[in-house]
Amino acid sequence: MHQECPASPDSDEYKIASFLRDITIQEVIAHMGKYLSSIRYRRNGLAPIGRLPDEILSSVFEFADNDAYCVNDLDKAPQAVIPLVCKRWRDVASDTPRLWTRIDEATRPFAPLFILHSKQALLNISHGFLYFRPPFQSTLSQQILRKRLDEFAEFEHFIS
Amino acid sequence: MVNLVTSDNESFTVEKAVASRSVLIKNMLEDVGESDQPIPLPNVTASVLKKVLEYCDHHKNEPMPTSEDLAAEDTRKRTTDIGEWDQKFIQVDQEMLFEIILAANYLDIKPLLDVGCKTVANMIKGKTPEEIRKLFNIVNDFTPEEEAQIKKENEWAEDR
Repeated sequence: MHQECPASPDSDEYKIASFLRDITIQEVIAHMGKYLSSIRYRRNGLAPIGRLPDEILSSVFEFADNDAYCVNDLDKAPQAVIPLVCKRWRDVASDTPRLWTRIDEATRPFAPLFILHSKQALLNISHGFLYFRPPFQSTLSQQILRKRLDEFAEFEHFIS
Repeated sequence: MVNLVTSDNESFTVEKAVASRSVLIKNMLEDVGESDQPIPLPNVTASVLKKVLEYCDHHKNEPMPTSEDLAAEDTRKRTTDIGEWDQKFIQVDQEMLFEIILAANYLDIKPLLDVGCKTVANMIKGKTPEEIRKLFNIVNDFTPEEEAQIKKENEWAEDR
């Protein structure tokens, strides 16, 4: 007789049903998220600044990187701010190798990201920050690069 | 004198020295030789051309940037200093600013293009992503997954 009642929360049937329901809801939310994002992307293209072609936007970003910023204000560095504005800015910024060539005391925490994005552009390394530290090579190539190798891979996967 | 015709069919008669600030027009004049034929500029409207010609007129006696100047991209992009007159000249609304940049790009007037890009760069500098979005009327178009990825990336910078 009890089969006619709704399945009890402990039954397998109930668990499977709620599992499926949750998965479906997650799928719908993810889909909506992507859909909304694509609408917002198009909307940004209609803003006046959206009319600038990539190479000009890229040039603007390079100009924005002309002052030395202090270590405490790294959050305001264009390399930190620009990629967070919107998708297109992020894409253009990571396609602007010269934006990522300055490696100094201020940008050091971002060094792996900079090396990745600078591509074939010549790096501009000022190594004042290396005084009284382990030799340059060990600092950069081992401490930073090796430690972040898996993060590199993940990031590469993300941008590809 | 040179006769220029805009996309909205207005014609402007200007000195050759003024029109020749545009490398596009200068090359056209050299190719065609002495001619009374009007030069069509299908990508520029009258209101924008008027502004651009104002710039060209003010700078008509200055030496044209040499190819070496232009090749030294790196040094050029290390400053966002804008001359006093140029600064006043470029104090226009955003729509006009981007129109001037696009026209300078099309007409190949590198110094004017630089003034425009520097102005936009100065608007970006020192702002947060949200402030930049507000300023240029763009929206955050990242999907929730991308947003999570961005957060993760930025954690790199935190464990200095």
